[in-house]
Amino acid sequence: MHEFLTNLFPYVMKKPEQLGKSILETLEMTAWAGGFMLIFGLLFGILLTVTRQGGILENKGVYQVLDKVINLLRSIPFVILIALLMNLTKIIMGTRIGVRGVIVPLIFGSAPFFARQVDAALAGVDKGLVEAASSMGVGPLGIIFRVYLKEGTAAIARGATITVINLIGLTAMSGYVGAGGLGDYAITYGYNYNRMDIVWAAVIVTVLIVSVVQAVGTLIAKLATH
Amino acid sequence: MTTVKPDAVMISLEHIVKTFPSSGEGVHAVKDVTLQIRTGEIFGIVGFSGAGKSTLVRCMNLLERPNSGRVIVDGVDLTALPMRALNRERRKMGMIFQQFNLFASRTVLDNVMFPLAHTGLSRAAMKKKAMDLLAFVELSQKADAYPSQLSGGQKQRVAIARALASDPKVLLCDEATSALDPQTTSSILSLLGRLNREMGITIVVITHQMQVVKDLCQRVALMEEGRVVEEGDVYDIFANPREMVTRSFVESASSGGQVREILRDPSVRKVVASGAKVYCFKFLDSSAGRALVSSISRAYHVDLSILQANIEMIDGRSLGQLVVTAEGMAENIAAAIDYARENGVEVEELKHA
Repeated sequence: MHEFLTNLFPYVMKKPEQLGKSILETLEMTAWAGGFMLIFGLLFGILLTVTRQGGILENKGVYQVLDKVINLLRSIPFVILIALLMNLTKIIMGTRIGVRGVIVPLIFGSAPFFARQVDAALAGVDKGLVEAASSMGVGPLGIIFRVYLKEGTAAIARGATITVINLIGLTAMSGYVGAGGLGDYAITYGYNYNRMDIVWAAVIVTVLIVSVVQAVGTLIAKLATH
Repeated sequence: MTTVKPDAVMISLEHIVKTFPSSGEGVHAVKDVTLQIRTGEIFGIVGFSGAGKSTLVRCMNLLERPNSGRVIVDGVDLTALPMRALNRERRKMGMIFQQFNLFASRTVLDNVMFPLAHTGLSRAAMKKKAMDLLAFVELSQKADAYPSQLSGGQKQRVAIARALASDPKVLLCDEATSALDPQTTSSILSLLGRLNREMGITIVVITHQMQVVKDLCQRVALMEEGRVVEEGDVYDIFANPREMVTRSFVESASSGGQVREILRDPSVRKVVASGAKVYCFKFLDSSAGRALVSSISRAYHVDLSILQANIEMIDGRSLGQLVVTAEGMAENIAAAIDYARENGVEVEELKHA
């Protein structure tokens, strides 16, 4: 087995700990940024839904500001976003390099997209259900948690899956600020030295991670659908 | 059941105006509606789509807040309440919908328990209450099913059980049977009638099916273009519709159908061309069953031949309708008609429009 891998991936097997470290860095970035992305994306996605015209907490000002900010953030390429946010990153995390230095831009790069996904998911919740809950005297918080989030779970899970997979894509650029990860591994050790086996190893591991995320997302969506 | 004094008012709408900025003039708006719904009655609101009846019923629990006017339910002015207090009052009013609006991700039992979350009941007590309600709507065996596994009629039964969970005094039904087939409709209507009788719940029924009103309601209001154009006891409305829209709704639900259609019948046209007249007699409950035809023939020498006859029960009272051609001397016919009217029969001559 070891020999087989050494033949197939000579340079990877020379320093397998480099690959292991890169995988851990990618997972670490994805986990931290993904966790905050879920929180902020849900929060702002729900805010979009309830403040929209005809929403249960209709508020034109809040909606317009949120809508514009999300569009703005989504239109900035991630590499530029890292540069744009460096001072904010320094204030929040105390550093602007390494895994800690890239988590803030990752959140800003993915949460707006997830907010849109959540908004779209909640738009798919039948307005009649909201009306029925209102007619029972359920207040706005009850409607958000007991109607929107409960009924929208499957669609939100699907949206979260797409966003997390995008997020894994974004982490590949974190090498720019020394955060490592699989993207950095493929470029630094593979591309720069023309060692294709390293690039392939990065591809295979990334595909595996994405497949697991997709499988989990699909499972959650399936369990939430009746 | 609590005894209520007759004519106590449960819902009072005072000069309700509701317009929608986006839809401009007309559609679904409510224009100055004043209406009183009595405690314990089943009240129908009928109109074509776009007449504003669904908007009006949504004004009753302020799902739509009227631009002006007051909504007083069980003595409380809802329009004056802050949100939290309004939500407390809403729990006294159940509502069911055309599309059922069950929560697809919850079981039947959880749907019925949904309104109980705020009551402070223990989970066991909530479950018992929900199971009792499911037994009332005869769906106990479906407690663990999901809504997608139910038929339309079963879904509406679950929706009714859910609406009853907070012990409402009022049940608002927005086109509750419009998505159901006739047989299922009649089973839902009899269920509504039963909960009105057994629980004393005041029911407001929004529908475009006059048959629903005929089978279920005691009083009815007809809406057209956002206004109530006619209102009264269902029996009186059927016996004596005044407005055109009322007439067309009444005819849609009468087994007699559209009486004027008779005039198109070739054989009837032939008789009419030869000088006969066509009359529609309406026998209200007191006059029903009199041997009117034979006594007119004998006493006035007028030959009546029956084109159509039917009798129906509305709110427990009979309403008969007889369409005849009358042949004879003009003054004899006039005298015969007077005689019929003196005997409490309503007579209308049918002519080509």
